Amino acid sequence: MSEIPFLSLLGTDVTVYSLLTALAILAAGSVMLARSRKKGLSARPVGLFFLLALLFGLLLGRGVYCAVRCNSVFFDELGDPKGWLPFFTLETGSVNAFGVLLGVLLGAWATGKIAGASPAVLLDGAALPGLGLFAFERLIEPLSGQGFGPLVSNPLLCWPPLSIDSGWGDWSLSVSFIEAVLLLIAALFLVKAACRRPGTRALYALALIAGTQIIPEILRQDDVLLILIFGPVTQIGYAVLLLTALIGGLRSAGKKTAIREILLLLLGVALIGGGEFALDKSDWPPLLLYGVMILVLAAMTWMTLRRIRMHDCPA
Amino acid sequence: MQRVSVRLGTIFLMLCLLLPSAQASGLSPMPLNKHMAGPKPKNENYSTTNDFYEDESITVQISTGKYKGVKYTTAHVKIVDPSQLRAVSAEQVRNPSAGFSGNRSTTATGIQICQAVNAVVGMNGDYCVTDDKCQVMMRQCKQIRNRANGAYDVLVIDKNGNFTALRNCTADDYKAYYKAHSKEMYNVFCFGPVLVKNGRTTVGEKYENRNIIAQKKTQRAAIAQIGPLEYMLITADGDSVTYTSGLTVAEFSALCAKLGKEVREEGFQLAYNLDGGNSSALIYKKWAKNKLAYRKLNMPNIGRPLSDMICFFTLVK
Repeated sequence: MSEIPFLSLLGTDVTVYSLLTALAILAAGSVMLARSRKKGLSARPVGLFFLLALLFGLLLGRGVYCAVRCNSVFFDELGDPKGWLPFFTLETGSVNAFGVLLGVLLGAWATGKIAGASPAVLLDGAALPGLGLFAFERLIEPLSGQGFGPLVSNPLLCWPPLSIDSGWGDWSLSVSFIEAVLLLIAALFLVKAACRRPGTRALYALALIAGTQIIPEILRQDDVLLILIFGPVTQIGYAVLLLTALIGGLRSAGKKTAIREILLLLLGVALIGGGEFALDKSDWPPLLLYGVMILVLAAMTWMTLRRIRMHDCPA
Repeated sequence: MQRVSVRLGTIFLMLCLLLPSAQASGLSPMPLNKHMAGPKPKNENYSTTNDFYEDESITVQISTGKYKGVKYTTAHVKIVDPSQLRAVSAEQVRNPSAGFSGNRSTTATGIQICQAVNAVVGMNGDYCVTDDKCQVMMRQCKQIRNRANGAYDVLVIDKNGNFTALRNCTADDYKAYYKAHSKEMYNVFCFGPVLVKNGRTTVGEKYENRNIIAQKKTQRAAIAQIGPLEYMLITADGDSVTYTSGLTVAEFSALCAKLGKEVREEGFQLAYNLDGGNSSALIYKKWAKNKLAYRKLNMPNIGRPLSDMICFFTLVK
């Protein structure tokens, strides 16, 4: 399914996907503002954070995409430069999820500098609506023509929204649907999580995003951003987020514990990387490889969540 | 070098005019500038020995052999119209009319791709989704990309189905060639190197290109032009994890030269190396348990999803 134009605005087609995304962003912003007001926070820094997160999210999300795909964005079919305008017009490609998340973090930091608000508190307020927004975006991703994985023929899998009908009699696994469901489960965890220290909820959100998204990204067969031939940019970004969440939780741990757990996480990353290498190069059973990778990622995520909880509630 | 190629191309064009064409025999050529599925090959045209396909428009002969202890598989293809040789995108699995966008990383297995478009036989292409190797790209007459940096040989297939190589092609080389020949250009691939030219190997023992792991033993794939509308697809088995079995590019070049001499006294006009390792895939339909289905002929238990293939089609509806 390709993008469906909904209306024309200032000479540009507004698609159903982009309209729903815009509405979801506004809704998430409203929820964030309402929750922040309930907790006694002033609307000004929250509003500023929303705007800066949006701005930096779009800039960095687009920036990551364009950095990886610079040849197709900034150069024409004969290799002649097209100038800088394609960066802003989205005529080629879209934005990268990891870049958007980086932008949100940068927006919190910038708001802290401008308005004197605590970035940790702002990110805590954004965590739950942000997860909800991310889950919604993944759910509607097929409207943009993305989000699909390998073809499936088992009738147990060939039904929407778990799979996407190509319209030509084939069904593709909807990776974005799987990612959306996992994000909703992560959001449930976040709702129930008791958090005392500022920043804890945000760290949980980062860890949960990484822990639920890394494996499904392997299944994508859409417009995946790759570096160095086989390196998936978003997956690598999620691994960085998981490491960031772990480091955040290790602030109250001893040096030896910190080094050990960081090394363990990096080992897990290497094992998952090895699993993906084996998927590509070897004839080992894919289900076995996926099973091992899921177990390793679950262990990494559990270790990170546990560390964040220990930082939040020291014994 | 390019002028010699143009002269040779002109001679072959004249020869092509003498050969029976698709239109003369009542078959309709496929549009060159469209992506589409072809007519479905008829089951009865596949031999039960699984090594031959023949209809009015195409013959395919499958052979295997051993070279330096390495198994190789070939498909010798003769067609009547250049439109039967086509570049196929993995995106066509989901939509047979989809083209190459140059942006998407869509992949699918070789079997899925050939099945979606009804190819008689297909070979992996140049893994076009990665533009660090596939620096130049034209598919079905549509120019898509040029970021050539001189590191790779480029294969140009013209609208008569003839091969021309641009050795160590730079962006300016390609632009100049494109400006002079764009109307005749059909498909352009970028991987290489050229393995055989006018029957002789063009790759020395010491040839090195780390980007294609030239000095290591691994699986290899190549497409060769024997003569007008006559081609060979060649794969060599190997181990792309330990690199302990397979062929180096130089050895593969020698194999291609040998195979060329076996089918034609002058050897291959041009043989061009395509993406090897686990990407190498030669897909063809085989009979098994009274059922005809697409199979990967080379190392069937190992394979990587592909972004693109070079396929041959029948014109018989």
